[in-house]
Amino acid sequence: MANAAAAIHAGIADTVVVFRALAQGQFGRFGQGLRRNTIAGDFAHTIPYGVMSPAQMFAMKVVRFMHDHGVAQAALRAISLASYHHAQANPRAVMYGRPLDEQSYDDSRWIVEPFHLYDCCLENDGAAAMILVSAQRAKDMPNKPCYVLGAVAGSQYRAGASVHNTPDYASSSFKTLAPRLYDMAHVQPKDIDVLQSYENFTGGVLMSIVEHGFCEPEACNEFFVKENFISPTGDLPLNTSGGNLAECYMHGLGLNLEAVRQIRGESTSQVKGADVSMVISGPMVTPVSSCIFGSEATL
Amino acid sequence: MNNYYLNPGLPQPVATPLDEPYWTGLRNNQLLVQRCEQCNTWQWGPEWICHQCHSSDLIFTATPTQGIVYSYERVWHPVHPALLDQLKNNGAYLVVLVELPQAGSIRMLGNLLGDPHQQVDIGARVEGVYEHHEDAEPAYSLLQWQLK
Repeated sequence: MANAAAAIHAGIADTVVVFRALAQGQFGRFGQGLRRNTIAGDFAHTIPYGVMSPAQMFAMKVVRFMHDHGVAQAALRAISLASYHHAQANPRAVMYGRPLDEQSYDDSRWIVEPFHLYDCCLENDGAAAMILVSAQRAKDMPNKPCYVLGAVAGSQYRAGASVHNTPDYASSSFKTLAPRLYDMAHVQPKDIDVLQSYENFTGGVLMSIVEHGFCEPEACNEFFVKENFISPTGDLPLNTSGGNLAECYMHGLGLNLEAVRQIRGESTSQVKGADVSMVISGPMVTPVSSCIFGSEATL
Repeated sequence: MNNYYLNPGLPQPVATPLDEPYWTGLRNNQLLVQRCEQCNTWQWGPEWICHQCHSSDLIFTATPTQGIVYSYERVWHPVHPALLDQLKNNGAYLVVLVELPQAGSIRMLGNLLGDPHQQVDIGARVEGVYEHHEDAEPAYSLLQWQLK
């Protein structure tokens, strides 16, 4: 998103299409381990110990974060429940008609602790695209414009250090980026009307929300409750389409579409009068990115 | 039967020019990790230059396998066919991320030996156990961990 906006702003491009398409059925599932006889390089230090899927690569970051700040499993559960709640209003959602309650979450099998089945994103096929043009051109288009107030991508010091040696380990990798995003967009966390936060796993959402300044790490158990994340009544409506857990896992591009729908007033779980709509993408990997969209009223 | 923590069948490690001393060390019951001759920074995983001072004067240096559990995970869901039976029978396996205080607190990743359902405490002291895969072609060794 940052690259697209920069290219248009610099005059390198008039129109940028950002898209993602997945056909895992034909071309391989992301959640499966490598099928080969040998492994060399960084992965030779993890795969022979049974650390080979994304859930297995990220779980230890979340375990450490929850340990450091005394975060309970119920905080992760709240994120999952919010996504499934919103999916019930969204006929496009994979989990439409399949609600989730606390008991079903608690009873669900572990994938890798602290992730239950419902803490993990879906594996599905699909496609999503966004069209970016200059603010001037957007006025001529049939749909209500949604403006990029700020978009950042990057990471923190040695975030890519191999074999789990990044210095700031229990992190979603947004600590240096989030302040730049708010500076660019000229908004503060309290100005965000609605948030889409990439759930590869709920633990990534937990750390992303903290690192974007919505909640102190020590206050997670109070902040991460389902009611707080439900549209339109919660203080921070979260993943209002059902997100990666319950709408469709389109590597986060679906979350960007939903953020735009909120500005246009077209969400199936619409936040009334949403003017500032935020997306956090790809936590715990490196680099990461996040973006703030605004209505015309925010310009 | 064998005494390996995880059932055979996962991809087996092959040394590269960058990490060959490490793998050779494990074969000889020795843990060799990178240390910078210029600034004395310890480094893991292996890199071509020192992340601290950018010197290429990195020496694989022996260090005791005494560590502290920095984080851990208990894996239940098999994502590789080699582990299907093991997870069906044992339910889970344990992975630990271990800090080595005597080597600049670099972190090593391995399995925690023993009951896969044991309680794991961050901060617990562990020591290394060499796991030799003599029947592999070529033979290789892993470094596992057990509570002290």
